[in-house]
Amino acid sequence: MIEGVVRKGEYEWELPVGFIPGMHVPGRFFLSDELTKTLEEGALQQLAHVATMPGIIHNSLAMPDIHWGYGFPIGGVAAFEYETGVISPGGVGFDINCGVRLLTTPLNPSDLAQKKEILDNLFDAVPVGVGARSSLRLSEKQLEKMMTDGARFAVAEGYGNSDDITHCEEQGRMKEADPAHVSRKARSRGVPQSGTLGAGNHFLEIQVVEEIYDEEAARTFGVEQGQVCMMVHCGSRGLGHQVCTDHLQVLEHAVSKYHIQLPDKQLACAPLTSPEGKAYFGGMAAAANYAWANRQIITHQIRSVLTRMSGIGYDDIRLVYDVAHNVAKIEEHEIDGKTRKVCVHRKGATRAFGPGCPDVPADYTHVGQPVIIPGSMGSSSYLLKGTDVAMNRTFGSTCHGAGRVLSRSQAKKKIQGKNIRETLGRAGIMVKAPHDGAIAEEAPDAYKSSSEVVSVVHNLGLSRLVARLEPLGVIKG
Amino acid sequence: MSFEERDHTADILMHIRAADTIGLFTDAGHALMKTMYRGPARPIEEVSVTITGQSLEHLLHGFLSELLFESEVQNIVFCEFEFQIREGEVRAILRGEPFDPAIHGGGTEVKGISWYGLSIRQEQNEYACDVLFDV
Repeated sequence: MIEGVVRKGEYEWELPVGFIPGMHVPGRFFLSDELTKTLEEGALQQLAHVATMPGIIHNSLAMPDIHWGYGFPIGGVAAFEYETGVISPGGVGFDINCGVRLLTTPLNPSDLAQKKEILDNLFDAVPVGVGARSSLRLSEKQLEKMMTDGARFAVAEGYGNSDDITHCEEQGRMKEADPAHVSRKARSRGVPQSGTLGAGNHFLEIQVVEEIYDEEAARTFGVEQGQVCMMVHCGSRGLGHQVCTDHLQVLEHAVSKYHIQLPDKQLACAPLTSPEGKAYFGGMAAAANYAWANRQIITHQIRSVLTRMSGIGYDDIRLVYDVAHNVAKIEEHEIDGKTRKVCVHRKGATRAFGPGCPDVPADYTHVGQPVIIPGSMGSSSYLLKGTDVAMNRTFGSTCHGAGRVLSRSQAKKKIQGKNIRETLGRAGIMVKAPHDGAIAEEAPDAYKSSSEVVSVVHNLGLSRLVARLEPLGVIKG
Repeated sequence: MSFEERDHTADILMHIRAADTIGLFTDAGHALMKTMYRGPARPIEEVSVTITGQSLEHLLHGFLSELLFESEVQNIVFCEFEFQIREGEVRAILRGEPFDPAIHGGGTEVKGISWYGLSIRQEQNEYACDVLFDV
């Protein structure tokens, strides 16, 4: 382990105050011995940087998929006092409300004789990759509604049903959204990209439920062994990216205005109650809503293809849940015996609210919030449930994915996209991508084992395993 | 062109070196375009941009952010850059051709230009910097 880190338990490690100058609280992260082999010093430095930010509560946290990013480490979680704390785009990232949703179908793998054709049709229906443009022609007014109403806008436009809204984090809409803080530039990036998947690690996958670990929770979430599911991973596209770029400029000035000392410019921030902090939060929430609407429109495209090609009904394709994994939220948490209003930043981390939380859909409240953890291409994805342990220890947060171990350039040098396609094909997993490079960059070997990552959060109780899903077909952005 | 990709787990970290600031900005522009697109582009369309900023780093960050924005919104693969750099301001002419997936496809979407670790250093007779593209 890296010098200065203190072991606190089988899966818990601490960066003590003093690891770098200016830390207000310790850093705390969760890793198995196996996962410590892939821990980078850069990621720990970033975890320590977050601990220097004003108003941080208890710990700068990182989940077992921690890796080196910019600003916060990926896998980073931090809560800030509402009255004295700050908000930072560095704790959210450029891809605001990048997230995942899971859909169930009444199909089983034997119904997928036309799998290649289904994948081809999905690839045609959902624009993917660099330069892909939407076939939708959003008006200014529609874009405004997309930013204020999120998934509700998409459903109102005919791209879904009311159950979709119920089964979305925040019901698919952050009420604090204020499009007045979304620039013309951000809007011009957002208009042609609504309903597009993007590139990089974004994907659309046909999966099958391979194993159930928790029968009651699976039944509650409507998930059965052998069922074909669809998983979508994407975010707020260019609109969200530009919101981050624009507000970083403003917040850089706020750092000196409010006399904030920071070790990294990417952590530029402002007090939550300041005009600059409120402006970023309003713009970020508008971008988050755009992302929920975007995933909802893609859901409609998936349903259209599956109903046409497999004869099932539109509403037979059911949304289990939709989670954000790059976002800042105002939440209430029990802290030192009192209910306090805080701003929780989750950057590459998933909300994991436990049973009884008012924000969990009514039909799921007795088991907790569904948590969706996508695997890397060709590897297992997982459905988990939120817990009281997460509420008490991590501000209701858990991991978000596998976490990279190889850079994209290392992956491309080491792995040939064509070989990956063939290897996965032999395992019955079809892959479609705009080019082979996208496949190599996101190859399974470029990532930590998703199984190892989820076993840490399961064993710690930060979320509990419900089901394992295996890929049958992948569309890479 | 003098830029090389260095290892960064999550994103694309580019190391750029040039004899002067114009060369540094030019190579940084090419580094961004080579990340996003493949294949050759011709300088048949032109866009002008002006960026203001308090330091050379602000100007470089502003230029790359503007290049990313123009490329994405105008759907142009830029291949030539012309600069006028003075204290607090950069004027740039960007030239390129419309994105054609058959020619230029195969790159990676860049979400934004990070400030993480961005500093321009004068080393012996050249300028050098590392820039992180969020992908």
